[in-house]
Amino acid sequence: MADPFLELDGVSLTYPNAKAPAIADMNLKVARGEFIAVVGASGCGKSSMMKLVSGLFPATVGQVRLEGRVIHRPTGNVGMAFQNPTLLPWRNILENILLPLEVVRKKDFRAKKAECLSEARRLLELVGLRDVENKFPWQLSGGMQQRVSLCRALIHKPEILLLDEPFAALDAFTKEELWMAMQDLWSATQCTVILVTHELREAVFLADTIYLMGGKPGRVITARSNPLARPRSLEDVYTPAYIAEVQDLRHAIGEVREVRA
Amino acid sequence: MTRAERIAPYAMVIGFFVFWELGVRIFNVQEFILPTPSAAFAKLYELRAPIAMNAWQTVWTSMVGFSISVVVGVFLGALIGYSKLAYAALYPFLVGFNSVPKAALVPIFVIWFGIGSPPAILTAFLISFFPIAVNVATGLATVEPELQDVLRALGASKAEVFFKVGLPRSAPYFFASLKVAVTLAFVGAVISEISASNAGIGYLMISASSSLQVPLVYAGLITIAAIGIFFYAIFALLETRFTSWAYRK
Ligand SMILES: Nc1ncnc2c1ncn2[C@@H]1O[C@H](COP(=O)(O)OP(=O)(O)O)[C@@H](O)[C@H]1O
Ligand SMILES: [Mg+2]
Repeated sequence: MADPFLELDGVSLTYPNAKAPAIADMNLKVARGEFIAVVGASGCGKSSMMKLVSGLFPATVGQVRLEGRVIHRPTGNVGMAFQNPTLLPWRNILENILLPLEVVRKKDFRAKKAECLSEARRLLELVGLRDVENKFPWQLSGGMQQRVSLCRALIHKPEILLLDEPFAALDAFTKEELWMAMQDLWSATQCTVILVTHELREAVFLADTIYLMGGKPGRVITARSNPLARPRSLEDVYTPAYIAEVQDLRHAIGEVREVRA
Repeated sequence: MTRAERIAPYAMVIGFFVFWELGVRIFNVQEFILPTPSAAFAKLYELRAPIAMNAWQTVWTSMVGFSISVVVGVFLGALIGYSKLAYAALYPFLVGFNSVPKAALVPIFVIWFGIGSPPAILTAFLISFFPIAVNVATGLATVEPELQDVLRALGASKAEVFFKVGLPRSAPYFFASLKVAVTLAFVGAVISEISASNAGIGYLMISASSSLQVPLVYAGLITIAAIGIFFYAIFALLETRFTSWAYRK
C-alpha cells in the first residue's frame, strides 16, 4: 500500500516542562482529501495532536509524516481555526484574511496582491459573506467572525485544515449553518481536514472517519468510518440512519468509559 | 463630548489662577512667600527670551532622554513580555531600580559627565523608561496563544509574530504609557538641571530662587506645566489616532 497522506506513527508528546506525556503511542492515518473528526473528553490531548500535525511541537517519540516526510517543525502547509475567531481588531476583514499570505508569501505578496485579493473574495463568497470586506471584526456577529476565521485558515491554500472546536461557542442555528459552510468549503478546496469537536452530531455531519481519543496520556481508542452518503444536508440530521450513527458513536464512548471505570 | 466637558479643562485652569490670585490679595501674602499669578505671568512675559532659551534646553534634553526611553522601554518590555526567564530575572531588578529616587543619582552623573546636558538626558531617560517597559510587557502578555500558533504554524519567525501581532496588540498600552513617560521625562530633566546644570528651566528656577526673584521661580513652574500639558496632548492625540480600534463601542 502507498504511504498514507498524513500519518502519526507511534507518536508521543511530552511538553517541555511537563512530567507526564500528553499523548502516548498514538497512531492515525489520514488519506488525502479526507475529512476526519476527533472526539474525546477534554484534556485527552486533542489540541496537542493538532500541535504535532502543525509542527508546532515535534514528536517526543515516533514520527508524524506528511506524504512520507517527517514533520518536526512548522511547514506552512496547514491552516488553523479555533473556538475563538482570533481576528485582529485593528485590521479589516480583508486584511485579516490576507494575514497568512504576508507570512507565507513575503515578497511575492505585494507583487501578486490582486491575485490574493480575488482569492480572499472567492473564499468570502464560499462561506456566504457579502459586503464585509471593509468592516472590522467587532462589527460582525460571532458566526460571521468564525466564517472569516475559516477564510483566513484557507487563504494560503494549505493542504491540511486543522479545526479545534471551531463551532463550540456558537448557538445551535449558527452552528448548523456553519456545518453547511464548512462542507461547501471542503468540497471546493479539496483539502484534508482534521476537526476536533465535542459535538457528536457535528462529527457525523462533517466527517468521513471519526476517531475517538481517550486515556491519560491520550491516544486513539477506536475509529469508525461514517457510512452516510454525501453531500449531507441539514434535513439528514433527523433521519433514522443519522440518529442511529450518532447513537452508535455515543455507545462506543460509553463502553470506553466503562472499561476504564 | 458635551459642551460642558469641552470647556471644563479651560475653566479649571482659569479658576485655579483666579483662586490663587484672590487668595494672595485677600490675605496679603508677601511676594517672596507666594507671588500672585499675575506677577508670575508678568515676569514670564518680561523675560520671555531667556525663559524660551532655557525652556528649549529643557525640551531638547528631555526629548532625547524620552527617545532613549522609548527604544529601551520597548526592548525591555518585549524581553520581559516574551521570555519568562527574562521576566523572572529582570522584573525585581527593574522594580528596585525604579524605586531609587532619581534625584539621588544626579551627583553620580555629574561625577561621570560633569554638569550640563548629559546628566539631564540621563535622568530624563531613567525616570521615564519604566512605565513604557511595563506597559509593553503587559500588552504582549495579552496576545492570545492561539493567534501566535496560527502565525507560527505558517513558519513565522518570532520577530514576525512580534511585529504583526504583539506590537499592534500592545499599542494601546504603549501609547498610554507614552503620555505618562513624556511628562516624567520633563520632571527628570528639571530635577537634574536644578542641581547640575547652567541652562534649562530647572537651572533658571534655582538661580532665581537663590537671588529671591520669586515671581521668576513661578514663571518657571508655569512654563514647565505648560510644556508638560503640550506634550501630553500630542501623545494623547497620537494615541487616539493609532489605537482607536481599542476604544470602539
Ligand atoms: N503547552 C502545554 N504545556 C504543558 N502541558 C500542556 C500544554 N498544552 C496542554 N498541556 C497538557 O496536555 C494535556 C492535553 O491537553 P490538550 O491537548 O489541550 O487536551 P484537549 O484539547 O483534548 O482538551 C493536558 O493535561 C494539558 O494540561
Ligand atoms: Mg483542546
